[in-house]
Amino acid sequence: MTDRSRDGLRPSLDQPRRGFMPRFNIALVLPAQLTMMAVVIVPTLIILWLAITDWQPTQAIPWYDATPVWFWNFYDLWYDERFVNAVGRTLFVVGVCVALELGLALGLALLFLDEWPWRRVAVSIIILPMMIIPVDAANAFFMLFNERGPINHMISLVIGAPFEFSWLSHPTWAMAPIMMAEVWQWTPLMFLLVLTGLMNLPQNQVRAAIVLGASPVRIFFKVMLPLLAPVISIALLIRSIETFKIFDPVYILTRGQPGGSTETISMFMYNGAFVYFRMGYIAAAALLVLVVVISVCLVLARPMTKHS
Amino acid sequence: MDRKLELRALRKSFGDVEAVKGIDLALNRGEFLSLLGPSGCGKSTTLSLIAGFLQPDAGEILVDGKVVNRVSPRKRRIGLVFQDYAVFSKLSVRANLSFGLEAQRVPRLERDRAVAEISEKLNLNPILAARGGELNMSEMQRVALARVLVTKPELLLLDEPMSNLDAALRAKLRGELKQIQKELEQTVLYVTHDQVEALSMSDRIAVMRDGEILQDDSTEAIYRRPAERFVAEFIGDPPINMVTCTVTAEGGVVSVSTALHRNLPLGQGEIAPGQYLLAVRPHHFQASREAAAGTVGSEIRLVENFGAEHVLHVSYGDDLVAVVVAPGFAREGERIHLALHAEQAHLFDLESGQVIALQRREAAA
Repeated sequence: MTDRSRDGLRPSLDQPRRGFMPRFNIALVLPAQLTMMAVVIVPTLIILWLAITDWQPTQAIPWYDATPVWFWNFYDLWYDERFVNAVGRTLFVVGVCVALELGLALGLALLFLDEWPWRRVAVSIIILPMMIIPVDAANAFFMLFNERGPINHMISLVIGAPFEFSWLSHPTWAMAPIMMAEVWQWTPLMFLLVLTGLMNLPQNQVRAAIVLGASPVRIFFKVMLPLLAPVISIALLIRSIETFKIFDPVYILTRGQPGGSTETISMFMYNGAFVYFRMGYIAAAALLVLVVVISVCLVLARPMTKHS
Repeated sequence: MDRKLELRALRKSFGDVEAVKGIDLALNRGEFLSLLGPSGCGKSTTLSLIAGFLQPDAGEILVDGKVVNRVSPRKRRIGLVFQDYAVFSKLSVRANLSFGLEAQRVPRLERDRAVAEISEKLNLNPILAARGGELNMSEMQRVALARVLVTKPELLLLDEPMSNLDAALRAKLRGELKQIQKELEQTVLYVTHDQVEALSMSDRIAVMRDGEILQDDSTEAIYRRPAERFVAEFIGDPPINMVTCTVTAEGGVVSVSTALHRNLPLGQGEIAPGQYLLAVRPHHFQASREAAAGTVGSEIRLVENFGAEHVLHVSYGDDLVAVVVAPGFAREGERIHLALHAEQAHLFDLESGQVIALQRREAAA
């Protein structure tokens, strides 16, 4: 094959024909490039500009005429407790939710590794939450955790005494329903990723461990988990990025209340930009968050780049 | 004799396909038995049944005289080397070797001693620190073997362990494997589709086809006295020649006539005259330059050079037969004279493929 393509009998892949092809290639990618320009690059440039201004749409000046304040926005953010807390809270939510999702997903996936009746139906049921529109899922949790909602009702049934607790207006506990909604909705995705990984493990390594007399626990930790590591790190990366942007459950359940105690970064930015209209300040916050997200991603993605 | 493994009327089907059709097989302590057959003959299914990954539909599996059908594969004390070796790719070679002993809760000192001993024997010391995924095929094969041998299994099952290696390495490892097996007096069931491996290593060979064992015999007998046409054709390199022949039986003496040779006495037996198949190994034709009694002239159509010997493909009626000669004996297109050692030829029924039993005058080599 190689010899034939080298002696020029047939066009080889490493020597594309000149003339017609490059223009055609450009024509193919141009719409995508233009779209990218419109929705990513231009807004990014605008944000870079806004981040060094104190522009507010209510001031009735066009954004390009805003007064630069240079780096004062970043200085203010550094000492803005509400912002710093939102960042810390978001990282906490990411850590707890993603860890819970992974644990639950691993457990479920192990159950589904063996063939049993109605397995396919059960998989479809388990992944249902993922298909629900996040706002609707959040609304369901809003009703569940209502002061007189089913959750409190069930607790009172269990403890045998009336139980009324306003989950969503308690500064400490309001975060719990939000995180539960997030975990409930996105464990299925983690489950699918982990199950696919488990099903594609080299079966004979597992069988070899069995005939060597290893217990299921030993096989899981010494053989399966190391083989699964690449899949797990990808799943963790995907879910961490997604959870970092958590918005729907926060917006529906608490809007960041009470007293900003459930405000995550996206909620903070929504409030700042569309409630207080501090566009320049929030643009600076968005830039900072971008830096944080990219750093987190690089750390999590490191094992994967090392792998190749 | 000390029975290590016994299969009794073992049966396994997958849907409509009967993969194993009630086979019986016994394996004695220290014996090397090959289960030989083409792909899809049920030999790997048999292996999975013995290891316990599959449950038989009927029949019994006995290890050391005890039925193990209901024993989980974890507890059967059967060592298994997989075709793809299944070395734990994320663990070091050392961790691979001690995996089985750790699982059986062997104390650390004893474990280390056993690992050191086996890695010495199989020459694994230089790669003990390497990870399983970094090894090449022959290293993986040695690790897979050592990982199993270190646990001193009652029975060692090998599933085509050479099929991923190149030819030169295979020849070398055949010898090594046989030597280790002898040294440890390890009972081995070796599954393969390669008749050279089976012949060169086994004490006994069971030839399998379509889920049945056609012949279970000593290696010598499998080669010299095939019970079925399939066994004769499957074993031997170059493959055995099959020519149609006419049989006449007069006064108990069975003679055959082929397209070229006339009235060759085969031996004594009761057999209906008619058309049969005559099987002659390429080594049992004698080629000569000069015509002599019992030789028939024929033309060489093709010469295959195997280095130490040449194989002539000679016209024989409408067919070609293979004849083994010394190198440089003859060239393509030349005429030679063929004699046939009828006392080493076999007669098979055209329909059933069963061998026709004959009493030979003498069993000269």
